[in-house]
This record gives sequence, C-alpha cells and structure tokens, in this order.
Amino acid sequence: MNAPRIVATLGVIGIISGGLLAWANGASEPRIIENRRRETKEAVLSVLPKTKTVKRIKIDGLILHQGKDAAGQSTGYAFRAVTTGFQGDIVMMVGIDRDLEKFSGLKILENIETPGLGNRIDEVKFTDQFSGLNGQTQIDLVKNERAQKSKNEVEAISGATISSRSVVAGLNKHAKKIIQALKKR
Amino acid sequence: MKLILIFLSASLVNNFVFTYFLGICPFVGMSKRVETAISMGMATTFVMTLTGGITWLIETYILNYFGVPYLRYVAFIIVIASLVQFVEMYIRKTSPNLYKTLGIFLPLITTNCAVLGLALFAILRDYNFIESLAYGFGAGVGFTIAITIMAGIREELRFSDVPKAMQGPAITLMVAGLLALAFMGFSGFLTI
Amino acid sequence: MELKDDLKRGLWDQNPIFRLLIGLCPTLAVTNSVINGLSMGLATFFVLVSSSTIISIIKKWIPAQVRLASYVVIIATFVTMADMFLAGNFPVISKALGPYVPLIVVNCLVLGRAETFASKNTVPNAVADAVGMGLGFTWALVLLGVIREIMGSGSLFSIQLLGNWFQPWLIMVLPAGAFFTLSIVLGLINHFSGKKGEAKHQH
Repeated sequence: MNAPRIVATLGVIGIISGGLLAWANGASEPRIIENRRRETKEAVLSVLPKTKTVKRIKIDGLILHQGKDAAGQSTGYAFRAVTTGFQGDIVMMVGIDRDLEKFSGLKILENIETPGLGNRIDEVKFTDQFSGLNGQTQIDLVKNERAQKSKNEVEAISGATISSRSVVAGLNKHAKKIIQALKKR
Repeated sequence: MKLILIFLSASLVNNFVFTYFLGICPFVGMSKRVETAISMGMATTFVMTLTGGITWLIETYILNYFGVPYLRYVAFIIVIASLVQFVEMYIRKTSPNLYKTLGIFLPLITTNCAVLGLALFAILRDYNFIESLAYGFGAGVGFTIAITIMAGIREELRFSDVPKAMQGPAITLMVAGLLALAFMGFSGFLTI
Repeated sequence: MELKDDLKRGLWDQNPIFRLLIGLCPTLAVTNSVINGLSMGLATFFVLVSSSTIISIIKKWIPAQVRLASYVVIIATFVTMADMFLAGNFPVISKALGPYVPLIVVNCLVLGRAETFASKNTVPNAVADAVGMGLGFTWALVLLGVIREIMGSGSLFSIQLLGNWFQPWLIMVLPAGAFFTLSIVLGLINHFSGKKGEAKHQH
C-alpha cells in the first residue's frame, strides 16, 4: 500500500476537476440564468396581453410576476402553479387581470401526460377557454357538451378527462389564495 | 399522506425501470432467475434508500452551504460509490448470511443509473429529508418489483420456442415493453 | 493499420448498443425524437472522447487502488461541463434531455471503455477507440430516434413528413415503444447477420 501517493493522486485530480468546473460554471452561469429569465418572461407575456415589462414581486411568501404595458399601466399578475396530473406534475403559468377578477390567460409550461391524449392540455384550443373566466368562484369542468363562459365552465379534452380535471383543480386550488393575497395589499 | 403518495408514485406509477428507463443494465443482466433478482432488488432498495437521505444532506448542508451546486454530479457519484463500499464492508463484518445473499451484487449497484437518477430526481423535486428517504425506498421497491416480475417471466420463457433471431436480449426487451404497457395501467392512480 | 481497426470497431462489430448492449438507459429514454437522440449521442461522444484521452494520458500515474475512483471523478467533470454547455447554449434541448445528461456519469459505456481500453492502450489508440465507440453510439441513437419519431409523430426533426391521413402510432413515443423498437431492431440485426444475440451481454 502506498497511502500518501493514493491521497495525493485523488487530491490532485479533485483539485483540477474542481478548478475546471468552477471555471466552466463561471463561463456558463450568466447565460443559464439569462435563459431562465427569458423563459419566465415569455411565459408571463403569453398570459398577460399587452404586457411590455415584467417585474417579480413577493407577497406573503408567494412569488408573482406583475406585468406593465408600454405606458406603465399594470396589465395584471401572473403566477406559476403546479398540479398533479395523470402521470406526474403539470406546471403552468396563470395570468389574472389587473382588477383581480378574471383570468387573462393560461399556459402549460411542463407536463409528462400521455402524448396525443393528456398532453393536448397545452393546445391553445384548451387553454384559451380559461381567458375571461371568473377567478374568484369555482371553475367547473364539463364533458361532451359545450362549455358556457357565463357559468364558468371549461370543456374537457375528450380522452383526457383526468389531465383536464387536474388543470382545473390546480387553478381552483391556487387562484383564490393568490387573489386574496393580492387584494389585501 | 404525502409520503405514501411519493412512495406509490416512485414504485408503481412512475416505475423507474418502465417509465424512466433507469437501471436497465441490471434489469436485463440480472433477471435470469427469480432468487437472484429478489436479492439484487433488496440490495438496490437498501442502497437507494440510504442514497436518497445522504445525497439530500450533501446537497443541503455542503453544496448549497458553500454555494457550489456545480460540483453536484462529482460529489454524488463519489458518495454513492463510497456508500456502496461501506455497506459492503459493514454487512460482511456484521452478518455473513446477509453478505452471502447480497454481497456479490453490491459492487454492481454503483453503476446502476437508477441510484444516481434517484438522487437527481429527488433534488429536482425539492423533496425534504424524509420525503427523499421515502422516494428512495419507493424507487427501490419499484425496481425490485420490476426485476422480479421479469425474472419470473424469463424462467418460463426458457421453455418456449422463441424465433432464433429474437433469442437473448431481443425477447427480453420485447417482454419489458409489454410490462411497460401493463404498468401504464397505474397512471392516473394518484390524481384527485 | 491498428488505429483504423480501433476506430472501426465501435461502428458495427462491437457497436455499444446493438452488439454490446451497454448504455441502454439513455438509448431508450431519449430516442422519442431524432434531435434528442442526436444531442444525447453527441454529448456522450464528447464525454467519452475527452475522458478516454485524459485517462490514457495519465494512466501511468494512477495507483491501482484508486483507479476507478479517479476515472469516475474525471468522467463526472466532463459530464458537468457538457451539461452546463447545453443549458447555456441550447436550453430547449437541455430541458428535453433533463436528468439524462448527468446520467452519462453512470453510462456503462464511458466507464467501460475507460477501464477496458483507455487504461491499457496508447493515447492515439484510445482516442481512435473512443471516437469509434462514440460515433457508433450516436448513429444507433439517431436510427432509433428516426424510427420512433416517424412512426410516433409522423415527423422528422419536428418537420411534419406524413400528411393528415397518417394516424401516429402513439405507442412509439411512449416508454413501451422504446422497448419494442430496440427489440425489433436487435432481432433484425441478428437475423441478417446470422448471429445469435446471446452471450454478448457484458455485465
């Protein structure tokens, strides 16, 4: 056994590896952070119409994004919500108008639902139904019939009832809490 | 309640072998006999549960504390490799019987991607310490279920007339595909 | 010419996926589209070539007892760098591949070549072997990706190829489809090369 040599070898390899990684991290981290910021901003822009700039705010420990239009007027608030779908988590960005009454948009950011069935929740045909619905009362899911906006209804995707229901349940669960927190402000 | 959900999700709904394709090498290589498969599964479950806990500690108290998350992969693989070594030494000293059953499988676990995969998934999902343990245990049990079912089928397969070109790994993968279809039946199990 | 043999080996005779059956986890997981398969193949190629090169250079100075530990650290270092590069420059691909990039660390192919080849051969031979194996791995992933994307989504590189008449075979992009595709491709290869697949598996 040659203990000092073993320790020295591992030490040298460890130091070189750590140094290389610290350098690589320094080179790529700003880019990665920038990518993530741009991604969030794009998601917020897609759920808050007319928005030009986005500001991150924190209320009661909840992270929200406030949108402003070109004139500096508030366009509403957006938040990230996570819900359990058919296969795993569904992550979505939800927009609320500036009067804190109606949803202004919804975008599915991540899902691992069944391709061709459940993952159709990210299609505009489904997500567009949420714009204009009342955020303070329960949203209902209907199957095999036309949804009525006045009744706060959303039509489920045929063949993907569970995935559709998960999105609605996620909204019902999170939206009220966020709206209340915003109203208190 | 959340712990039970995590456990069921890791073991059945999102079974590591059939939905994430983690641990395919031992799954194909070690599933010839049911007894070996069960021992391999138990050894893996044991290491995975410990890994879930220890990598969480490393991530929280070392990597995040010193602000060096980019050393994660290097740190995790070293931890897993040494963990497997320690477990092997400990079992050899304390329980020769257990060592006889599990011993030869332990070194193989280091390169089982399910173990590193588990550690990464647990971090990605922001699990806390106890949840990481439950996740590791669930993933291990899921692996054991998968490899045991597979071994049971392969024992029967020996007596069937498989076309020459499909013999060996080809038919094993075909069976794995059918099992993956069967496990899809668990989807939607955990939704509201 | 020995170098040429080392280079050629991984492409067909000892193709890591179709012949040696190693590194199957990423093979099955990311080949639901061509672009994912190609990116994964190239990332693995980079890690394999870099680590094999370094390991064959420094093999003399590594004591036998810590051989594997040293290799694993070297491999993990390159994997982290590949992961950062993807996240920084190709965020969409990085997201699609997710945790399968870090899992290259435990890809049996990389450690296997380091242990069985790079640690015993000269630098040029080790590089040739790694390049061959890396290319062999990449083309296998691309082939599986092509089959699964055409049949499962009717497209190639996300460009729609087949018209509306085509009802995509959803199963091909599901996990089960990954197993079926690889199984059938293996069967075909065995059939046409007249060899039995048995006993080639190394673990």
